[in-house]
Amino acid sequence: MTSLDTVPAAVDIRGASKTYPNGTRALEPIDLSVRQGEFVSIVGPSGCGKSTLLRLVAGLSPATAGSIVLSEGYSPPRLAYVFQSPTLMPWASVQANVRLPLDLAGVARAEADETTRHALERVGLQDFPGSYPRELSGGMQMRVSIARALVTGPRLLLMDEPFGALDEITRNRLDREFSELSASENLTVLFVTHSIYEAVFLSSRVLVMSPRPGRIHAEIGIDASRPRADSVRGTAEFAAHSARLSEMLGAVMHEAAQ
Amino acid sequence: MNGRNWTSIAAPVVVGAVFLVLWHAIVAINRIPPYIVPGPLLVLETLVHDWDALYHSLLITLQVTGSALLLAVFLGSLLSILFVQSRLLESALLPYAVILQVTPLVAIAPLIIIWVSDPYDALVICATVASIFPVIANTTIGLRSVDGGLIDLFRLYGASRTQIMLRLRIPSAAPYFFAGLRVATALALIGAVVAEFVAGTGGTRSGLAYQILQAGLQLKIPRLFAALFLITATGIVLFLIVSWLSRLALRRWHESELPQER
Repeated sequence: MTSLDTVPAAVDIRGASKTYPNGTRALEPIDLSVRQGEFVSIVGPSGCGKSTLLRLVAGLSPATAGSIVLSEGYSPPRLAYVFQSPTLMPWASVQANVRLPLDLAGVARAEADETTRHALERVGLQDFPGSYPRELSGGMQMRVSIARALVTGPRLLLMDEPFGALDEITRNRLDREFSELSASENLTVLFVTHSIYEAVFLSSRVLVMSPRPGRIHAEIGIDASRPRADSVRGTAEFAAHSARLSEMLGAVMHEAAQ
Repeated sequence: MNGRNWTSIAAPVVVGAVFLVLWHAIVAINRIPPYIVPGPLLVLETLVHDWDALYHSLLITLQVTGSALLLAVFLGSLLSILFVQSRLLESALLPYAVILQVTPLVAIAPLIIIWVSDPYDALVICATVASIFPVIANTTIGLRSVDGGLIDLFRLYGASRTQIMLRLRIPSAAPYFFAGLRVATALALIGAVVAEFVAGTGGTRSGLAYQILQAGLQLKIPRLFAALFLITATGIVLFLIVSWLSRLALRRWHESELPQER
């Protein structure tokens, strides 16, 4: 951890909280610093404010109090967001969906098409530019969504349970591919998930949040080098981290139930 | 697929043929005089014989219906886009659109015909009034029925209101718009016919309704039937055109136009 302390922050959250206009407190004041190149996962039960925190960082929803500072080069369009569902335009082809952020920014068509092609290659969809979302499986739709996030060359990725709706086999495969992608591009990632195993597999740090109102309950660092191969899933270290996280989550749930 | 297509065409054709045969048989067996119910062959004969006059009227009715439909689509979509920009504008104007919709056309048509000096324009206005509401109602709902995630995505990438309208709201609204357009098409034709009945004006620019009116007065019932047949045929053809447009626009992505997988 000491070596990481010298790495500058990509996201610096100081006392940010969220209370909805109807009085619901979604987030207690949160302090969190995500360092550049770090892969931070957030796990926690439903309603613990994980998604809210992500929306605050993306600027999709204003914080009620506190501050969220994105370092230079980590704000839109270098910040991308991957939603829970693929969130694709059903009337547009894969290519047009992935190109959207560039189209909105007014990038010239030829250049945008070229960048789009590269983004599709990176997620293995180079053969499907003309397909429509409904013609693709859930896993492939999610790849399109990731390609769209990558197309602007982001350095910070916010991901809200991106693989939550997929079957376990597809999910493990996408996790592995994404682990490689995020490491090779040195992406800073803030990743929300329900799955302890996914969090341990992908992350350099895992935060456990507790609900009502949401706050950060605990965190653990996972030192194994990234990207990680599937074989990591069978190691004792992986099992130990998973067990510890599971225990922490259990405590959080127990507390919430009272 | 092919077998299904074939039966879906053959079944209504068979029903139609049976209907025509029964019609002919009942008229022939009971010796019903043509000024009460003409047989199908006599109607066909009249259609051929009076084709010049009927065709001229058909064109007028088609023009009125088409102009009214274009106006309804243009004005209706424009109003919907304005409504989506501002809730205030919507709540201020929508009640009047509803009033226009619920007031029977036959009750407003005489006023429009009095106020508008050119009878042809008056007919177009009546048919527009009759058909604009489904365009407004459906398009407004469609423009608002946008995936919240996509709105977030557009906002994240700094999309302007215009970009959100053109790239997100309008494509999302297309299925709703086309559903409204089908209803509007039928209503525009009905509006054109009803308004002409109310106006009762003849002259060189008289449509099919006037032919029916005249034929009824002169007891030329076969001609009345022929004009009626043309109105129905017009309605069917317009409906098919709109369905075709809808399929063209939506077939790649919207559930309503996708082939059933079996």
